Amino acid sequence: MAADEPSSAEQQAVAAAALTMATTELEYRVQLLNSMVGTCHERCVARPYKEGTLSVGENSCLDRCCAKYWQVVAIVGQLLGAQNK
Amino acid sequence: MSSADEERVASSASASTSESGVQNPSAAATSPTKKKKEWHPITMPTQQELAAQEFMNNCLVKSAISGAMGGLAGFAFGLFSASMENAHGGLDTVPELGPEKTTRVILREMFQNMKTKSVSYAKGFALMGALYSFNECVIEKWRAKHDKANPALAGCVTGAMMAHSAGPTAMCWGCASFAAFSTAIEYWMES
Repeated sequence: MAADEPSSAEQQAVAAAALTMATTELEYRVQLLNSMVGTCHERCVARPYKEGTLSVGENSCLDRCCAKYWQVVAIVGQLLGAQNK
Repeated sequence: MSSADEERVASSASASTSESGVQNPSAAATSPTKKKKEWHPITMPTQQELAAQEFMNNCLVKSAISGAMGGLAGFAFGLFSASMENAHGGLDTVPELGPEKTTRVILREMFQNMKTKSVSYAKGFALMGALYSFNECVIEKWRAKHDKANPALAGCVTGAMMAHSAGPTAMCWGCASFAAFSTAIEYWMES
């Protein structure tokens, strides 16, 4: 009985920490998605909007934009991780 | 006048809260000429829609569709042109010597001429349409931009390709003329 209580408190603390980390991670991911969508839409889709569907050129521009954005995120993340060490 | 305005305000207020696509009968009664705009909710595209868009974005598919439509247009144009040619007789044509042809023979000749001409025009238009569409798709994919330079570039390449057997000067002329034509068509389609 005495051994159960601190372990349950530990478990609770660990669970709370994991929840906070997961919440922060989710928030970062949502921010990443929003900024990627905003940047690539601003760069690739020309204004004024002449039609309601994406043309072939805009489609390929969005493909390239998202791929490059993702690469930049990966590289910068790696550099940050290396710097923190 | 004020009662009609009140009815219009009431109908628009109820339309904003009701389901989309439900027409208000009082609005139709008061203003039959005005068509109420139906607002649809914004939805994310489904997998099927995305797959259909991806299918249409393929350059070969676009070129095949344009080639088919060009073939149809060429067929119609060939029929028209052959019928204009078949209307012989008059002061310009040289009279044919020999026994007079029966109606049946003349009709068969006309039909043959129509068939030949329409097939040849259909082939030419189909090739032109398919080639132009393929070039425009490839150029637009490579540039990753949707602007007015794409039809001009694609027209130039198509015109040069179609005149390749006539030498470099003809290729330059073909490029310039087809680029101008396709730019003009693009401006006309936009308006």
